[in-house]
Amino acid sequence: MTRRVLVVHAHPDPASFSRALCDLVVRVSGEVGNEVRVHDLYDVGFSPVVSANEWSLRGAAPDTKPHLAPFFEDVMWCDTLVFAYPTWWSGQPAVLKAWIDRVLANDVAWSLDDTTGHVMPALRNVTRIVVVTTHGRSKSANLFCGRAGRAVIMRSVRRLCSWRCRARWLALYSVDRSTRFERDRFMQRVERVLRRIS
Amino acid sequence: MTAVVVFTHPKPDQFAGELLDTTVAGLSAAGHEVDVIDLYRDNFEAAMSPAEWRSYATTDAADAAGIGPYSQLLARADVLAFVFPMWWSGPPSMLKGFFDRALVPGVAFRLADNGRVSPGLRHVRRVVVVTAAEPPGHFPQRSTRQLAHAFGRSLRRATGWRTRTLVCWAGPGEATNDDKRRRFLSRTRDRLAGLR
Repeated sequence: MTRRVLVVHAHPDPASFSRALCDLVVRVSGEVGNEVRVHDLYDVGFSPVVSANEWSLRGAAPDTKPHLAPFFEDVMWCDTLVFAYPTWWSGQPAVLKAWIDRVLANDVAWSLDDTTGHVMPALRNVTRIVVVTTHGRSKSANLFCGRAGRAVIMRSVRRLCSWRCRARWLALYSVDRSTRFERDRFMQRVERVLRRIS
Repeated sequence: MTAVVVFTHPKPDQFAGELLDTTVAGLSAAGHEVDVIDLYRDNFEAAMSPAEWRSYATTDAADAAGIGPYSQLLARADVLAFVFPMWWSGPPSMLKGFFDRALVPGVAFRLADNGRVSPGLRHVRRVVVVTAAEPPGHFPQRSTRQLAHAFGRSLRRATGWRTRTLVCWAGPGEATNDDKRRRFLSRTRDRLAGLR
């Protein structure tokens, strides 16, 4: 089955390891016959903050935010979400957090239940989430700090997707001290996982 | 004693503004001199630019990036407080941008030649997190509260391992129910006033 893959990537440096991982995801996904779209947030100059205007429109319909329409369309089109980013201060870079805050909007990713007022998932088209990230610190240091960034995707974003959505977390720890061998091995691991998603 | 409050909200006229006022009042009552950094009012640039990324490991990064005033405030803080809403289990992108861009080597931590990292904000004795929960029904509230603690804990690389985090966390009821809100605000004020 051909899958529709949306890759969301944020890193200021086009020569970075994170960008290489993003390119790898796009290449492998294309090779196994998936349709791939990419949101390179630094490349498109994505605004890193929720403006006061957007905040006041948080409960409004998506067509009140025409500047975000292409992003809304892609996120409703895809069935696989891939996030490729570096972990900074145990979370997503601000630009990627802004993508989560702004694009996962009312009537795109969620809607309010009329009777209870609870948030109900609306991204039921998404059945797979893959996160490809790098951590500067070791795994134990990240565990101690509570892995706040992991919760944003594995807990919050995943909850907005299909109830049978499977999420996979691929992380390279201690990347600041990593060797060429470790980085290559991690890329092979990412490739192995992405090849199976087709 | 100096307390620095980092405030993040696009529209501070409602509950968020009250949280800020309460935090400032509480910390002042504790005898702190309070400085407020309002990221939305300052139009803080949240995205780290490619130039900043390239000069990240050099010590003059703080001046080059135009965040000098912030690093001067951080350099004399005894208490570091964050007032923000939780969005999707994390801080708003604006606040995350403050972490990415203002807590850089030379300000928040020091990089030794052998790659070891040592804290640069050891003078911060307490980290305070004042935050409001997500809409009801989204998540179990207890785990949201744990994430607020995790947010404070991630700062220990900058403040040293002994700095403790105080979390004042408003549940979904507090934002809507007037009575609950007043009680929460006065309790928060008292807790912060007792911060020595």
